Amino acid sequence: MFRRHPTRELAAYHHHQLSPEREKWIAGHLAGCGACRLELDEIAFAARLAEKLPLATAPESLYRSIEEALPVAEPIRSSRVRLRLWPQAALSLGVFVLVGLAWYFGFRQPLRAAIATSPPSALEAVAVAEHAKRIQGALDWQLQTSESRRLQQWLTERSGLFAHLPDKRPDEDAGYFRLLGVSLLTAGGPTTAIIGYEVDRQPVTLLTAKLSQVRDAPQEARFSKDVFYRAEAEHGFHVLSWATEGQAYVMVSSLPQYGHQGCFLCHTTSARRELISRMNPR
Amino acid sequence: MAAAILLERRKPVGETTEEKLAQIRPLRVTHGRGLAAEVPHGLIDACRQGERDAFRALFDLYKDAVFSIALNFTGNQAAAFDVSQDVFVKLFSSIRGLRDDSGFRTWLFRLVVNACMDEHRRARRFVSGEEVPLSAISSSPSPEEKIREQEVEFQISSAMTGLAPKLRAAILLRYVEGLSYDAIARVLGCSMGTVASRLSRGHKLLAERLSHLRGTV
Repeated sequence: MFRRHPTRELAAYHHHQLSPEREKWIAGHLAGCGACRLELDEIAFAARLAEKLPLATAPESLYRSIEEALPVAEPIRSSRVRLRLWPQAALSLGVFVLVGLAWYFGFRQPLRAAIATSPPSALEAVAVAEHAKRIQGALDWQLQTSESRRLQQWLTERSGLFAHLPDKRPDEDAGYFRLLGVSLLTAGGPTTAIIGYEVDRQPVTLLTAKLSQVRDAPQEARFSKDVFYRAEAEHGFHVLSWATEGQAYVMVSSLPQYGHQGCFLCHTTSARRELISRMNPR
Repeated sequence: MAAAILLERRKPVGETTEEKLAQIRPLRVTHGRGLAAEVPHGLIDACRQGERDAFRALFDLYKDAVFSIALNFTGNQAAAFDVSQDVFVKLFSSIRGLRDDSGFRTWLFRLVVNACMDEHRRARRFVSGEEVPLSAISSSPSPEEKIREQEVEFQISSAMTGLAPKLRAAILLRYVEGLSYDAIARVLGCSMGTVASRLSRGHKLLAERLSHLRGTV
């Protein structure tokens, strides 16, 4: 009678890793097979030896060596280090957000222009009157200066208002813009700054006041800059009105088209100027 | 006989590593092979977050198991050190990629076996450094019985290092870590039948080479 010897399964039989049916079959085979019994005995002997395989304690220096090797592959960060990094991460995020906002509002903020349909605001009326007075030579500057930083400082100290006048102008502006001075109107209404300058030797008058104090001025849009244009009938002035960063602005001039070149006093980047130049109030 | 510390966890698991680690307490100590305890819940997640304390806890749980397998596989303490370092560096570097926590032990021992195989290939190509006998792990003076036991252990280890790497890996996973045939098959990426076959052959070879120890073991 030929029988297949379960040689390959004897270790599994010894370790009770076989199914009950298979284990029963092998037990039956072993009862009648001396060679397999001998092999099982060998396995039991080897198992006793293997159980004596030495177990070792890892040296303490092992962890240090892993720490040293890790930075190349993956830096280990402790929870304390992570906590220490939080302020830096928050600061970085803050700077990132600020840069993003500056980029958005400085370069990419959408510009929407419209023809003003509502009656002129009080600020507009004052702006037109002051500009007309200036053309007649009847307006004196409380601070006469061509230095933007000095004008800005004077304005902020006396009124809390500000104007984003750049310290340095692009080369293409040479001889084109000239800052003249600033005056404050305080009697009988909101504190209003009148900034006088010239664009291509033509007078431009810019008025600004706190938006909260000017009730009928255009309101500030959240995600765009809304500019309203009005062709002033009596003198033929171009009047642009807008609001930004809590201040209302009115710019009056007789510059070509909508007088938008007057905006280039503050906006000096080519991207923003291009956007302003494409302005088409409807 | 080395002690294997079994751990249990208490719920709920805390948020910080310290809290998570505080949830883990030794339950009982058993004597037997199988050095590596089940990984406590939350520890792998903490490791994924890159928390150093969690790495240390995980290292402490598995260092002796990893080092013992490496030492018995290579028969060389310096090589075992290198293998263990390699295993833990790989483990800590890629633990974020481990999707199933329940497969952690299989993954760990696969790393160990692979690192051992790599070391074996290196050792074949290059002349290895001076081998440190396993009995040299303990340097304290021993009584006569202890010396005899160490001599037997040394002979067993020497016979082990003479086996083919695949047979060696199966025997070490079975006897150092106490893995079932099914678990060994998953670690080695083969069938249970292949594991049974390798173990049978490994046992037979060990018995042949150490036949002179019959009667003493």
